[in-house]
Amino acid sequence: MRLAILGSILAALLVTAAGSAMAAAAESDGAPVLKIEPRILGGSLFSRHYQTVVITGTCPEKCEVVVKVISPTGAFKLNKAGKSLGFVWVPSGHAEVTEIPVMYAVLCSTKISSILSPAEQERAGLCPDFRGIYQQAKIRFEKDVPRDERTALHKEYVAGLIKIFMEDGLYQYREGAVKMDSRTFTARLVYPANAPPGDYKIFCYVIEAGRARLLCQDKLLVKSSREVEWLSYYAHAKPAIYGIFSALVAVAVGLLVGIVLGRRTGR
Amino acid sequence: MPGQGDKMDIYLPIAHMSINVFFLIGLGGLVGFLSGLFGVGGGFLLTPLLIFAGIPPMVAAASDSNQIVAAASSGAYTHSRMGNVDFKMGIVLLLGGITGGSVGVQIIKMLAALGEVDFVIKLVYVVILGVIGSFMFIESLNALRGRKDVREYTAPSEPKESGLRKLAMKLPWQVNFDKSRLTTSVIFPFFLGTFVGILAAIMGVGGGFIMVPAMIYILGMPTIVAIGTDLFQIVLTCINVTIQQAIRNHTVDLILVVVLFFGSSVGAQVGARVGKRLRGEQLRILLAIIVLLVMIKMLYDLLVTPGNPISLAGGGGGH
Repeated sequence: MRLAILGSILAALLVTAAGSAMAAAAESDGAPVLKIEPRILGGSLFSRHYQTVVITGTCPEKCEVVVKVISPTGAFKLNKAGKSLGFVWVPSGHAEVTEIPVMYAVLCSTKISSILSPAEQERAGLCPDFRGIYQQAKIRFEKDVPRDERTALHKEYVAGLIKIFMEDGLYQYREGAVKMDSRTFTARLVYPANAPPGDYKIFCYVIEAGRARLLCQDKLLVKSSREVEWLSYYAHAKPAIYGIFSALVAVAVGLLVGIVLGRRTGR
Repeated sequence: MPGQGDKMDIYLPIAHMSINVFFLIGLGGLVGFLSGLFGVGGGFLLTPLLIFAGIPPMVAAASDSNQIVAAASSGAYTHSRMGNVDFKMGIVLLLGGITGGSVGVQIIKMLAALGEVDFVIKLVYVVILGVIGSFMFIESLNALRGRKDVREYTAPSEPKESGLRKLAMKLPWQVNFDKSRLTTSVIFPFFLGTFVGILAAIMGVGGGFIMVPAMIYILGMPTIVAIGTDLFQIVLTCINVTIQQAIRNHTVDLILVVVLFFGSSVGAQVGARVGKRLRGEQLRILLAIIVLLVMIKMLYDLLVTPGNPISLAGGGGGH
């Protein structure tokens, strides 16, 4: 009986030790252990101008890490400005760009051009100028465009949209946003309040000998607030109810203020 | 511990953007202050300022119309209690306003489909603000120089008969408006309402800056009744524009409206108190300068080479 108990304890200890050893081995190999804080970003009507999402993970020693974050895609109607009458800027062309991520962030531990060749940057989709997006995005022109002008116009529209996104903080290329500490890395993603909800893909690359190797990938879930969802739903799905509700709210608030001020001024 | 930006933003679900809430309240407060100071609706200042703040022009104009409903309801309630509303005239103006508002919303929808709406809204603002600002500036300058009695402009006891007024009296469908102490054809106020309704939809304004002088100088209504009746028709015309914009263009941002109104109602009270300490002609020349500055900024945006030739059609959204 004693021998059986002793045997069980010994077996349990052996299993635990083996598990720990395997975990340690996996960590030393740079196996995917990714921690995202917070993992779910809950939206609210009132929010800070931006939130910081901290992504930590393990990686091999003496390497550089690049973290790429991609949001769901969207569709955008765009205008191209052109001069009319020689002095006034008017919309001269229209197109719709689809299948373009609304947020795209490349965060790295050091200057990316110093660790990856342009070809390797393009292969891994880690270009500081977001070059990969040009191929991914689709475009539909409002009017027929000559075939030889399509490529240049496609590039011009997508570049313009990326510039708008960069100004809004949605497209980011940030050197030094990933801090290395022996076998761990910590990336700080600045998440702007106007970024869309949805599933965000997070890719972590380790850079070794001039090549980018996908270390691990994970997801960040961004939810919009109930108030925002409710208002968006009614504004688009039930616009008549939304319009009447908006008008009634305005009348009620206006009358309330009128009555309160009327009492105060004695009118 | 995740970090956070130090500014408090509010998300505008229809404009699809996040904006500093105190900035928005301040903007509403500033326009409310000017509105209280000068005794104007302020819609013609609020829409351009919202556009400068990055709100898409279509959303700015539509939401401003809804904000005007709130602002004008308060004034209309007070004036109706004081007996300053000519309801018969108000209904004629309103019929025109509803017609014009519906046409205006349809024009916006058509322009949005063509991708030209932002440009047209800005262009209409440049023209209207340019004309009104210049007129006000010249008139106020003359008043300051003593060429003209300013009080005669703001509260004329016996408005002179204009050519249009004489014409209105010759048109068919003459109706007696007891409260306004006049008999005139309903055709003229109907078309006046239609014109202002179109402007309300395109510019997001109440149109008092056109309607009140027209009622005083062309129709010959007493000033206080003109103001009360104008507020009454503004409330209902802008309710129509709000509902139409919501249905046809989905551009009314209720969150934006409530925040702006919160700021503007406080600002209007402060402005009205400060305004009592200033002379009328000084106030008007100041307002004329503000109107002209806003117009110049809008004109500048149309003339100067844009930093980015590509812009979001309708100003935003999409995702």
